Amino acid sequence: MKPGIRRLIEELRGARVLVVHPRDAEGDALLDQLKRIGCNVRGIWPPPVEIPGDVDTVFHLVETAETPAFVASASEGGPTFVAIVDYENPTVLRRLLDSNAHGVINKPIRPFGILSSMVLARSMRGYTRRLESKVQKLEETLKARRDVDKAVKILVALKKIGEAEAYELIRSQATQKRLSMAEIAATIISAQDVMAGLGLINER
Amino acid sequence: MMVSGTAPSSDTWRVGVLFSRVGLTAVTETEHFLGTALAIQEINQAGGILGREIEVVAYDPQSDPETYRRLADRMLTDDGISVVFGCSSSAERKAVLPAIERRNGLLWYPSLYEGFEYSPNVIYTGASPNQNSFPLAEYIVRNHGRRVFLVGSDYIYPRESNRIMRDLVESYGGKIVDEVYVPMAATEARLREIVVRAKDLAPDVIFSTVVGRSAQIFYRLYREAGLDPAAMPIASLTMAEGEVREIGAALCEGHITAATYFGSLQGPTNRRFADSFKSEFGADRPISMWSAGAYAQVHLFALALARAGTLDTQRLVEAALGLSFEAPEGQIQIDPDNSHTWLTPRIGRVRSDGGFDVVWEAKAAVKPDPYLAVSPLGGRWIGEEASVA
Repeated sequence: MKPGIRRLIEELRGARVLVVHPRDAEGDALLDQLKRIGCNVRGIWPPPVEIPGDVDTVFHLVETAETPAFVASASEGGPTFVAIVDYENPTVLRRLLDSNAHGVINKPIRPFGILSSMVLARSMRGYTRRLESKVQKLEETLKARRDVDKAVKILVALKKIGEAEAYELIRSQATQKRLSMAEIAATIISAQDVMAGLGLINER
Repeated sequence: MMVSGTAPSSDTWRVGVLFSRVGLTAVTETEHFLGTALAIQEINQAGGILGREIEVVAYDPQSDPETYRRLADRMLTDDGISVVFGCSSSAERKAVLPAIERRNGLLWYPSLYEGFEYSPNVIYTGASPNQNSFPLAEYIVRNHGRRVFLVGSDYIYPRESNRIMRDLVESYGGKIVDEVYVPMAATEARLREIVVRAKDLAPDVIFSTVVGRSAQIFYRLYREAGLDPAAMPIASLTMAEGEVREIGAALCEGHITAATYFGSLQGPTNRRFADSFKSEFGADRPISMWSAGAYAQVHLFALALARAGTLDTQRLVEAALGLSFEAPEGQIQIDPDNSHTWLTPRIGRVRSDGGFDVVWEAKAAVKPDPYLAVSPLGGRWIGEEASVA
């Protein structure tokens, strides 16, 4: 835990933060507190069409009115997103959920709580990102596994061999051609499709 | 002008004072109280502020955060007061903050604390960690050794101070040999266990954030166990002249404190402060960072009020930000960015007479950095500075 909090705090130094909020007393209070924390911060209003690529955290006012470009929505690889809300009616709550924010602060903005929200949001963003890449890897593994199974069945039918032998065949081809087993399997599957389409082999 | 007697205090500035006179932290908080009282008396004797004297409403919260909360509420509602000088520990400050913020009051907080706070309703005039822990860590590792034992009372200030101290000590190549906590009102038996642990571990330094009466017992038990401050000093951010007196100077000689003020400072402003403090409260009463800091912040308040001409919180804060004052410790200034105060870091060693020898001091006041945003771990403090001793 201890190195964790130290790293989180250290990362706040020089964090590049964008505050999308009108330039008023509350907006200034937020900018000033982020500076005290040690962040590199700038404010912008009205909301930009696109979030600049060089920011890693965005504080964004969630407005009641439907604004076309609620651009900060947490996209893959996008910045950490902290919503600023001033109402808690279902309309605003809906927009809060749609925004996929990692954290939220409330109006009126007080200095206390901003650091906690930001640390938690950044940590959640990192955690989500790690989970996402893990899920992606698992999905790829699962698909590869399915393809290999399918290719094994094709070879078993074509060459009248056992499953273990078919599997070995795919593996040795992969080693020879320096490709993954999944790629070899995908080639076998698409070749089988083409050949069957040409009537060269019987589709089972 | 006055048509009825309903506003008897309209010709004074009414302020609140909340420092404990009894309880666990009675010694330090009484010093806060006396420093505050002395400054108010000086200001009133000089004709007040804009021709009006300061009128004080004071309660004794008895070192108890819950009582602090209740009395702060009473001050801000029943008594109609908005400016409060008060609180010593972080637990007390946190207890008072909701009342202060809800009623838009202004708390003048004179004590050092562990940082990571900013409220627009507080002026912080005590040291932030970069003004005491940072130089202390380098000093102890360089001069006493790399093995440091952390002990503390179990609340937020020791926990966070020790977290910072661990990072600092490690950044100077030192090592934390253990980290142990005792209850706020620790029993003698529990504190004796800590002393035994120190004896077993034989660290080069004990960094203690044990506070109040428990700290006094701890220092006494340490010497009774035959441990030697020359070989294994206790380093502290809070042990000052008043508590040294309570424990007995002979039992404390050689221990170390990092603070921005010591009673032994030789500057003209400190001599003046010491003289009036002693003539007011007795020649044998020790003076320390607790009274000097509380004294200085009342004078800062007076300067701000003279500028603002009103006790309205926003206007008073605006007037206070950036103000400087020739305090007993030297020139101090309220930082306009974070409402904490520029102070001069120092390290002192307890003498046989209960005063402190200043063994190191910074060349000038240092900007407060409550969020440690611009204070790198492992920075150089001690090397280039001239040693005073």
